[in-house]
Amino acid sequence: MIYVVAAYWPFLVVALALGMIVGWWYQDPRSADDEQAWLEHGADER
Amino acid sequence: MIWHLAEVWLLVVLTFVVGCLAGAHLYGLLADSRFAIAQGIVADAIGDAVDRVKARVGLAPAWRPVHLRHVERSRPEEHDDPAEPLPEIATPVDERVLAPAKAATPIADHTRRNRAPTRPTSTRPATLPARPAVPAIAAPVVPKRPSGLAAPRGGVPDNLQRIKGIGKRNEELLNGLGIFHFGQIAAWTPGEILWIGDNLTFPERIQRDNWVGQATLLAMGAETGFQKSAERRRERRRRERDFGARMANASAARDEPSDITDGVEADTLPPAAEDDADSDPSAPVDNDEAETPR
Repeated sequence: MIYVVAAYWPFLVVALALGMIVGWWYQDPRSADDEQAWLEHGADER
Repeated sequence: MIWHLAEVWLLVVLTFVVGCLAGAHLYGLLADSRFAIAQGIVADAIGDAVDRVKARVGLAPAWRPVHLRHVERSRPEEHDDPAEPLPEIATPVDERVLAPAKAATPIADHTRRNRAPTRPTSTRPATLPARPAVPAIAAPVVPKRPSGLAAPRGGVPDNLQRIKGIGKRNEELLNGLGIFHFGQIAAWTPGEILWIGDNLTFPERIQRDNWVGQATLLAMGAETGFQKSAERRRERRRRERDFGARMANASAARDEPSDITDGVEADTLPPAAEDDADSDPSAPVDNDEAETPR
């Protein structure tokens, strides 16, 4: 495991950065507004 | 070798998941801290950069003004204080409103032409330059925040989700802006519609679904077409549930030995006739659904 981390750490850093971006975006209420507001149905429309 | 690759990929995926959790947690931490404003500014800058890149490469341009991002991002409760100045909106006149006026033929200025007979004609162009449209023709609509209520009248808000286009999320946003009743939406001015649309990030939806018209009908106690169709859906679901229950009861009765029900099975009856027999005659009827319940 240590060998893998030492050898492939750049990929792990990229994966960590991408994960943080995705997690951040998921929490951003604006992204939810943009993606869901147009899809939102009214009462009993679902 | 295969195990080695599997180990590497597993580690990368694990790191990605950890990054997701860390990013989400970090966002929550920053949003609750004093760095929230800086966080919003950075996020807006990134969003603007992405929009510029999109426009540069020919992808769909931003469908809302970029300079309104900070208005969209701002939470409604941040502006509940009427004494607090609202965020400045850079364009006082919306382009959607002025578009018809710009497209119209400019009005020739006969007064000025008649008033300058002494000016040498050689210095004048053959045709007068096009003048901008007179703003008085199309009154500029300035986005304006509608006046909201601190609390619903009588403590009971209207169910805004009866309006097509308003779901749970949008209702919460409107409530956060102090909009609780149909009458408030029915009284929106064009400027207030613009402001609400820009703040709720779906500006066309208010006009497309005609929120004001729906709210006017609902405020008067009438029903909208959307409401009627919702009632029809409810009625259809109720029939489906009833039919399913009857089928289940009939199956149970058939499995039990009984002298009374021998030879007469309830599920052989036409389901539409069963449903229509006990349904409210005043309820709207879907002919195509009543005959073949699913």
